[in-house]
Amino acid sequence: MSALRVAAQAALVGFEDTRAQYTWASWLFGWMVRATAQVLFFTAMGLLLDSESLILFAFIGNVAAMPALHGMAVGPDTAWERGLGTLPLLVAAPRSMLPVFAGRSSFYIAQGVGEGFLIFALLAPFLGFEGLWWWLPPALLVVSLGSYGLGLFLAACAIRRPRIGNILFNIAFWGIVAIGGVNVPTEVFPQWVQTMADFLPLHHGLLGVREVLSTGPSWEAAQQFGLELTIGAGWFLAALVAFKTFAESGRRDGTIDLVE
Amino acid sequence: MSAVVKTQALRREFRARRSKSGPVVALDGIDLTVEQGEIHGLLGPNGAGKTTLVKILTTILIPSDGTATVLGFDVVDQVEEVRRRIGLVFGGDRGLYTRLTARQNLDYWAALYDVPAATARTRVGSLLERVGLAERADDRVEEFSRGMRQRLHLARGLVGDPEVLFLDEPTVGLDPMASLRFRELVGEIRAEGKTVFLTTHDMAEAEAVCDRVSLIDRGKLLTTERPAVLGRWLNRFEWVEVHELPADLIARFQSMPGVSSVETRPDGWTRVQPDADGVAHGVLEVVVGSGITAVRTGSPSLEEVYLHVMGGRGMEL
Amino acid sequence: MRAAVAAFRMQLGLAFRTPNFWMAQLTTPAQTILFLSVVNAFDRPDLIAYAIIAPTLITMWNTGVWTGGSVVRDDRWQGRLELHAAAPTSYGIVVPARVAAVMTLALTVIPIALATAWLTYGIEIDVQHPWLLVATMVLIVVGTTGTAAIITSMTILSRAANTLQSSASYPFLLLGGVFVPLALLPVWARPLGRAVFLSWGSDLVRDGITQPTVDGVPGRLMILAGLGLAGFVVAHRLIRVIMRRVRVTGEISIQ
Repeated sequence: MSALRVAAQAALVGFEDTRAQYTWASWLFGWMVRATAQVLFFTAMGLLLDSESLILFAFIGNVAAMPALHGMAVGPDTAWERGLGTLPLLVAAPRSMLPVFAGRSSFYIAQGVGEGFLIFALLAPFLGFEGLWWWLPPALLVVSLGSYGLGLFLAACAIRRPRIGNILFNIAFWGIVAIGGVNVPTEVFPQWVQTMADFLPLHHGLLGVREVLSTGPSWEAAQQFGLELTIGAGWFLAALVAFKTFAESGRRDGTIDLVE
Repeated sequence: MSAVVKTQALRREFRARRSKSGPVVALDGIDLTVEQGEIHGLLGPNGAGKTTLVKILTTILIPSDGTATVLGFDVVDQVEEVRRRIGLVFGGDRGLYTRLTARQNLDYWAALYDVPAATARTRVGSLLERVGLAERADDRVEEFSRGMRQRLHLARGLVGDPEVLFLDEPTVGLDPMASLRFRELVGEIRAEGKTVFLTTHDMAEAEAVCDRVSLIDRGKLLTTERPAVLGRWLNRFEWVEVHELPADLIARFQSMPGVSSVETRPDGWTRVQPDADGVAHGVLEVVVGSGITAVRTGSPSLEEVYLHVMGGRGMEL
Repeated sequence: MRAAVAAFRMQLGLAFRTPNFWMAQLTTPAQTILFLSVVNAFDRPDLIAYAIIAPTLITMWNTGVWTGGSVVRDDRWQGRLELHAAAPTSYGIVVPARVAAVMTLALTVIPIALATAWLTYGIEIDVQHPWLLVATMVLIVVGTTGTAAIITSMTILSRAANTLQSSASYPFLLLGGVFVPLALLPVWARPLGRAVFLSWGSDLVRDGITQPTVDGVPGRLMILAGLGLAGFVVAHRLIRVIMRRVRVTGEISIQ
């Protein structure tokens, strides 16, 4: 089986797992209510700061953070894989674990893009958004792909200690939201923080999203999306190395069959 | 001896939420008495209603109909009185706070059972000693083996110093040594004057531990007897199986007195089921005398004992 | 009383050994920086206290809803719910006591937020009315405990417990005026927010820190206390009713 076929099979498993976890009602009234309220919560900061521009800035930023959230959610999802006790079987399989995990969680990408756009469509009319909204879905797709690699890297870190999976994910996500230009431009931070943001997902993708929503496709937007995907690819490679390292060290010290 | 547990026409139905069929009857008119100081076993296959009965007697479930009392207190209307006087032990791995130590688990439950602080300290220590966990008292439960966890469960069930202890399949999943040790503990508990109600699907366990055993199947109580009596039924019911038994011998056994059934399976094995003493021996003599060597014997499974008991056969001794 | 104390202590012990419990605390620095960066970017030093209070209350609320809200679900999944049902001490006492332990530990978020503000922006907060602040925080803990206990008790009956927990976070934080005061939200949202004790608590905390004089303190504290304690009482009653209902329908046996 090629790696792509393995990933496709794994994606199907991941999709069914999510379907088992959520009904339409629980997704709509639970998760979507929370996600929409989260975007509204940060968007409303503009009311306190008495700034319409902040309202729209935070609105777009937090909408784009949704696909990033989902892309990174691979981390806890993978820790769950370990909890199922299926990890030893995967490690013993002839292929690298990576196509399995990558495929398993690829449905998160579609979910993140869909949800982000849905929330945008719900709230944009009330917030007075005037822009080229039809470019939003492909732009969100880039954002989600960009954060996927980091999510997988965190998954690899969590695999040795699954209890910290959720923690790593949340710290990383909120760190990126804090400094990645979601609610304020990164220029308000010291240079070293800006540099850090440059090498993390979401920052460049979000700049691309803002650009493409205001002026449509442009060289500036393409550059930012290109950077976002490059950074995402870098984290993806880091994930590959981390998984391989884990598999080998786990075989050496026998921690692979721990089921927590 | 007074009755410690008494049920009359006890019935429990469950309505399945998404099912179109009617309610499931888990208990169907159970009349049961457990005497003071005895170890009473409830023996039955999976799904027979054993756990449902335990849950009603321990006030976790309310019966649909009928009555049940524990130590004279009604399990529906006098819940607090019942709960203060009983202990409950489930089998299996769950039910403990695995991230806490054994001692912390027992301290917590002692408080929930209104055991005064000073008494709890002493009692927890002595219980841990008794179940052989004193040296591991301050280790986290997640490090314990299954057998150790089950012993801790038992300590938890005793922490309130109950008069009646309910054990629901307490040895499920335990290895033989661990099971044996657990049964010894149960015997010690009875020696203290406590009454024990134990459910199991293991005939051997029921025989080894219990003073009396009630058989339950599909929610109905079939009979209550001493284990020795059940043992005699088993000997009588020993079957004989023969591979490719010729038709003439099949006919001969079918008309033989003391044979209740002769059934041939698709795999070619024919089972001759006696229901009288000494008949199995006679069947074997005929089979071996015919030169057939593919023969085996065995005791009936629990289900087969039930079939005979429910059919009213083999009840005379 | 002894059982409630034992349950409180037991949950403290569990929380210390559960990494996920500390997640809210560990994300507080990032969230504090998030709010402070916004306030700083708009050059609004008068809103600095708002930026520190918000992540504190968010963490406390989320801790209550998620960790406190998991108490019953974890007991149910691990087969301990039935053991509690058979015990003489009511689960309606045990659950609020355990959630209260979680919430008390959640107070550790306050020094974390303050330390983050000091380390990153050199900010030191000058509290105008310390005793009002302490009283308000205690009542917020009580109120959050009650609300979380209601949520967690619903998980006994609901298979979709995650749905309840999900929808109980940001909607409440928004209507609770945790960063943006209720008075600045749309008019139609204000009555909804006033029914959430958190909005009273948020306003009092902000006033206690920033305002030289605070109006209507006794009345506002009473409303906060009343709404919060009402949650407690409702949770206690709800658990008893739910446990009785579960004994009738047999749902307690559904794992």
